[in-house]
Amino acid sequence: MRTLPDDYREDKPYQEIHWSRHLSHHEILTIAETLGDFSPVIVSVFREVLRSVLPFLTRKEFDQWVLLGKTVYNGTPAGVELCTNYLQSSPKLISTGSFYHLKGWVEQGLELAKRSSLTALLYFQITPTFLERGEIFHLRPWGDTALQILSMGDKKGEAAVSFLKGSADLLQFVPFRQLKDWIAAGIDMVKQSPGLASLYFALKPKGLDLLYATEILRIFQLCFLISKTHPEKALELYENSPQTILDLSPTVRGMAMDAAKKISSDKPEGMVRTLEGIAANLALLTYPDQESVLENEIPIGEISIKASKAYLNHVGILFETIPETFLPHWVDKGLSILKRDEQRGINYFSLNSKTCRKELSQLKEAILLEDHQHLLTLYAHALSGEELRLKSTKELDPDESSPLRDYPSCDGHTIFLPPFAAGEEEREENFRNYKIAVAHQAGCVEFGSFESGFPIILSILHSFPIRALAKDIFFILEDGRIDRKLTQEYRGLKQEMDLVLSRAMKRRPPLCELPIQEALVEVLLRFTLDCLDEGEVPPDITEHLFFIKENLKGFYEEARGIWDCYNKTLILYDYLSRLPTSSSYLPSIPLYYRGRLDPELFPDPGPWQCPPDEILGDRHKEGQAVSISMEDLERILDRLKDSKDLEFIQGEELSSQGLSITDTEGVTTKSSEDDRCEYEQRNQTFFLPATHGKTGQEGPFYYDEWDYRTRTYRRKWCCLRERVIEPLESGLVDEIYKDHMDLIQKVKRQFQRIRPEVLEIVRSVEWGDEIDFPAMIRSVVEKKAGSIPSEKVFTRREKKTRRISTLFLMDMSASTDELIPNEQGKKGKDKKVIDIEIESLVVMMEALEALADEYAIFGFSGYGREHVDFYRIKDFSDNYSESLKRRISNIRPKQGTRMGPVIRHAIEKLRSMESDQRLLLLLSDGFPQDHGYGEDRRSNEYALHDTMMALLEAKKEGIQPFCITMDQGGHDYLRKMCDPRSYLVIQDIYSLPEKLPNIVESLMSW
Amino acid sequence: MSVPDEQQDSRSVHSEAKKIKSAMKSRELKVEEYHITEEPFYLPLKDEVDLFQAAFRSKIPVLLKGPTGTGKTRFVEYMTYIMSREMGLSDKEEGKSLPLITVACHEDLTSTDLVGKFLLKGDETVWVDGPLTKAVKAGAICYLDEIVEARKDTTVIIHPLTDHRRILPIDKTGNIVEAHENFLLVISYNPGYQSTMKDLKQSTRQRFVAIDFQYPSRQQETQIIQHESSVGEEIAYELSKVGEKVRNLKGHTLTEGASTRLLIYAGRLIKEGIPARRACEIAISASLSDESEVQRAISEVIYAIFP
Repeated sequence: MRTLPDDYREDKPYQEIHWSRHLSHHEILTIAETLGDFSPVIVSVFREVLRSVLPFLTRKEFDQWVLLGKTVYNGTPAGVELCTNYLQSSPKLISTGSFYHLKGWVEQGLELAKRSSLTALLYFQITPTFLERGEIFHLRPWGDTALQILSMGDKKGEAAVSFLKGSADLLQFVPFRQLKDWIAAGIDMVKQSPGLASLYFALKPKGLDLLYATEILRIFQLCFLISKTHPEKALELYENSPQTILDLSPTVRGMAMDAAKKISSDKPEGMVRTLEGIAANLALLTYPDQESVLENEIPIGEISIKASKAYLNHVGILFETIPETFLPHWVDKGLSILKRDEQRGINYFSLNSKTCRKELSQLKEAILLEDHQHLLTLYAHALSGEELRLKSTKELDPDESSPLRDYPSCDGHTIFLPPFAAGEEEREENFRNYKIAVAHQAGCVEFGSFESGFPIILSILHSFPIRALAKDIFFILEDGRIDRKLTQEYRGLKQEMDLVLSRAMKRRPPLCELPIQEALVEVLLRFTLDCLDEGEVPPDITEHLFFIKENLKGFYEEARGIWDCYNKTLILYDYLSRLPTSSSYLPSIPLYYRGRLDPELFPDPGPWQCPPDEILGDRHKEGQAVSISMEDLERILDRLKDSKDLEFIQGEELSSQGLSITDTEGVTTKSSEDDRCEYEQRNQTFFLPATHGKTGQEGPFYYDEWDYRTRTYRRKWCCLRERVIEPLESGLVDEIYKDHMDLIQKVKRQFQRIRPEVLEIVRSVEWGDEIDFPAMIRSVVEKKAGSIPSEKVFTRREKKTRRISTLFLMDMSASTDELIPNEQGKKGKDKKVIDIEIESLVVMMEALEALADEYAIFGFSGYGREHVDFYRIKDFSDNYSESLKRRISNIRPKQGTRMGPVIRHAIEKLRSMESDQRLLLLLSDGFPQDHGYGEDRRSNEYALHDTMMALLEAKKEGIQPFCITMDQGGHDYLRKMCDPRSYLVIQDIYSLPEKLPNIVESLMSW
Repeated sequence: MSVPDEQQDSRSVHSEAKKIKSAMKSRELKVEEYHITEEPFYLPLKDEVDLFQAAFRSKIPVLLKGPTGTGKTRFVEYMTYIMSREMGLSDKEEGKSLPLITVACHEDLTSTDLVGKFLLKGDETVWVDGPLTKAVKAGAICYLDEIVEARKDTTVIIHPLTDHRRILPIDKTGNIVEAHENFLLVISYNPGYQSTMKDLKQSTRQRFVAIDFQYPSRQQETQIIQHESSVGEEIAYELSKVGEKVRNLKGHTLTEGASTRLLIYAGRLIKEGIPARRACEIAISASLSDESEVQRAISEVIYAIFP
């Protein structure tokens, strides 16, 4: 029997252990001595781990644990190492799971040891790492896989070891159960080349740690897909693909791999190159463009893989030729060719066909609506005298293939234009098409197409047996009336309209190919346009042409409005609808500039339905705000969507009794339906003012937003509305005044010292209001003395004081609702961020009132780019009044923080101030954050860049911006947004009321 | 002796040049001696002529409000002429007709500039009346154009002149000047583009009757343009149409609409042979805005009207 070293006999190490009830100190020593027979190293390890296992084990379990150790020692040649590893790893297993797993684990270890001691050693050794990252239930399958690898033949030990190590490493990225494909690919390789498999399992691909789990799994899938047939390619794919896809937007990586898989389905070994090719092409594009490219690839791939490959290979070149906006249009055209003839389609997508080249040359000359939106809006506005809005037809129908998107439309308030104008050989011609379309639509407004009877006429026409025919006739007549009016009023337009028409007429269908009704409608169209070539009219319809001509003789000279056109429609419809025809009537193709009316813009004027009684009730008087529950609101919104009651929000006839729901603008905007619902759900209180109109609201104002990735502005991207905060009688301001009386007095005195506008007397000047007597005496003396007297003998009064305009922007985002613990021993209870903001502003207002300088206070919040709210608390022209105090009392936290548009609106406010110094103070509690403020929710880069740009814009306007944040982490992002002299992070939030006036004072003295 | 044709021609050219030269000669007058001797063209838009006459007779100061280029100054000239004639003061009898003293106000204009000041002349100081004092003494119509541009302390000095007292106290000389019977104070301002800071004080505002000037109707403007620029009725009509359409942009993109004055300028350029589109571009688009997009939009409106 070996003698234990002396220090093992010392009682000290064991005295501190919480011993199990059934285990004495003596017994421990005995066990240690038994183990000492095996190896002193084992005893040493036993001593080390004893402390960590004892608290988890009963006496019986302890004995078993020791016994299992002995079994491990005895079971294999490398007993000492194995037993040591067993002792070192088992505490982790025991503490993680239960004693129950221990036995199975040892058995599996011994099983592995039978085939490969090294594998078994590593199995025991890596188990704690495995357990840290994985679940205990996967321990057995993990070991089984190692066994499976070993059992596949000789020389598989290295692969099994690599597997154990590699899999444990991978667990930090994906759970074990999702390693299925990775393992399967590995096993495929083991079968063919154990060396390759070892490399595969041991591989730690560069960039893998930067990918999302879903992307890693997608790589495993691809590897598995080719591992059977091309193991070396699978290895290459596994090694390179993480880095290959890392250059792509996270939103498209999966799509790119899917595309690679699809394209290489017939030649899997080419997958690596295919994926690299796709990624290389896409990496040249911006993130949104990458997304657009791959989304457009899907329909192509569904028809032809070859075409898809051609598309992805050439899309980089394509983007050098045309802007991204035109991609769906270009793809649609290609798809229509591809459906008819695969080879021609492939040629098209390879940019190698005549059609494609023609299309590209046209798209190259295409113009985007967003580039000309402002200009065309002004144009429409000037011509019609109405504040017509201009929107893209995308907002009419989110479906890209919708025919509604291709033609202009108007509802009397908004002109909808296709997102781009293409089809002509030169940009000027495309612009002309837009311009004439706007002129025509504005003409419809100016010359009364949308007068009150319009919906009724539409409704009647809709009830005709051949409603498409009736509508075609009516719109041809009405559009003809408008065109005539336009060319009479705007003689300069005539020439351009003629040009547009001459091109349009070339694309009209030949009369001889049309059925009789369609042909006559086409004849009618050409006749009203004075473009009818009677030689083209087929002989069989000549007699009907006579009828049309007779009926339209002198019509436009007398026609005064839509009702005249309607009456004429009745006569023509009556005649045309009786003509014998073999097929049902197909609607006429509209002329581009005249557009196509979206019937949904004009709901059927049915009887107006009152809102539910329980909502209005009789207890509410007109003009009073009525708060309603979420359920009621949802019910109303449902009704609005389903029924034609929209008029009760929009209809002018009902303005005296109309009901409007605040915060539901955009009910008709389908594209923002989801956003709207979400937005409304977040608004807890709704009001139903009984008077029609958007009371207390100004705007919308549209502002650009800076996209740092494309380094361009997204034009008119954000819609901002100015809202007035409803006054609330709560006495909050007076309370603040009372609480901060001393501070207010101090600050007032402080600011009064900065003051005042005085006229300084400037002496000894050449001209002025009064004589400067000392200078005059000097002058007289000089003259008498014979020298040349100075002519500077007047005094003048000059204004010396600078005028300063200060605008405060107050963050009213939801986060300002957070309660700040009052740790600094300040009096009072814990306060919310917004309360401290309000207190500071009240103190600040008192100070600025003392200075009699111009100042304004606005709050901001909102949800998404379409709902940026700018709350007016005090405008420059507002006085410090009771109603202002009441408004301040009702400042509440709202939603997101989209700072860019808010700063831009503040710049607009300050721009009109004629001051020597203009200050913009931004008071916030965190970084800019809002729904859709940047593609990636996790990153605030986009928001920061936009805010930074807005602050730069302010500087360019000569405005001095200053950001004050209560966010302790503010340095991290404010450093990026502005220079260090333009921001301040308030450490003690409760000190803001004292600090703010000091900040403002120091800014004023800059 | 017959004079060769050539020589005769050169003589007539010479005399023509002489005439032009004399017409080009500038005149220098004292402010109180400036009379409107010929009837200016003014097309009454509403009842402003009657209102002014009544105010003049009742010695009530007049405030003219309206956008730039709507004829406020022309109206004052016209009314000076009309009142002069009404009072039987023959315009040919120099010194007897009603003088018109116009002061263009600016932000450095002080009360001294209006009332007068001491100047040094040799070894002594000499008091020199300002234009307002001269008008008060001479019984002129004193027209303070763009009054809000002047400093607020300046506008206060007109107060005693604009109520029942009709006096002008001159602190520096210790005198009080009682206004001449014919003296009338007329001020003008454009509420459109003034900032809130430059609003007229109520105490000043409420001493005047206010006549609002708006843009004339299309027909009226056509007449004005036709008369002032000597273009044909058709062009004048189209120009007034341009004016009307461009004014639709006022308040949003433009702080001011196209004034009748600009339309007249365009008309004159057209009369001089400049193509209509180009004339309107330089007289209207480029004048109204510096933003290229806005200029382009206005130009497109012009192109729509002028072929």
